[in-house]
Amino acid sequence: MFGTIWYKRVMINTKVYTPEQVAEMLQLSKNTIYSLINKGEIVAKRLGKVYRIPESSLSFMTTGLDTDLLAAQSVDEKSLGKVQSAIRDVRVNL
Amino acid sequence: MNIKVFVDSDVVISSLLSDRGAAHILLQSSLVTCFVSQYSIDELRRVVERLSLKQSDLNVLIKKFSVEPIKESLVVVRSRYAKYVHDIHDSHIAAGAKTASASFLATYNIKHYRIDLIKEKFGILVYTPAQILQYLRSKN
Repeated sequence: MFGTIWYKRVMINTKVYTPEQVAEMLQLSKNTIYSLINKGEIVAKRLGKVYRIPESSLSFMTTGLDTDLLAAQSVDEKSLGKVQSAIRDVRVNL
Repeated sequence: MNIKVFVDSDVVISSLLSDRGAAHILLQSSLVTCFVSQYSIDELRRVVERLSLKQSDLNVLIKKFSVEPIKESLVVVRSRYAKYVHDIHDSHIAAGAKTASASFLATYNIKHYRIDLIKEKFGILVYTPAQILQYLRSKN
């Protein structure tokens, strides 16, 4: 059972798309996707002559945020519980 | 021209805790002018003390902000702006954003604000720091 869970997590975390699939998902042309890859706006991995795009590079589709901004938000969110708790306590007694 | 952003205290404190977070990146951006009120500053000093952070670090940050004084007392602010928040104790943040004529209110507490009403009455968008940074990217 543990092996199955681990396998599923790895599979989810390593989901990748072809540029053609991403073009269809974003309703853009294939050339536009390659252009975005070249400009670094979509982070892709080159494997020989082909590209694969990890799901994490397309975070803006689900969050509205670029990958780096999503990561930067996650950094803040780690401490947010204690920060908001402290603010709440102070705010009530302002 | 810089966009005017009123910053909630959770964004300011987050930026003091990490220089890799979205809050810090936003507050250091040359594309925005950040606003706080005198009530925010009072609150921030107390929170910094409570979390054992350095007041000197907060002072450095506050010097970069524009301080927009709210003329009303906190009691008046809480009665006048209560309808814009879910918790009356957040009223001074909505009041500060309105007084500063900000375009954005940066907060990690979006659920605590009546964002549709704030947008409709004041034309202020309530966003997280990362969402504002994303907006800045889309503009440039």
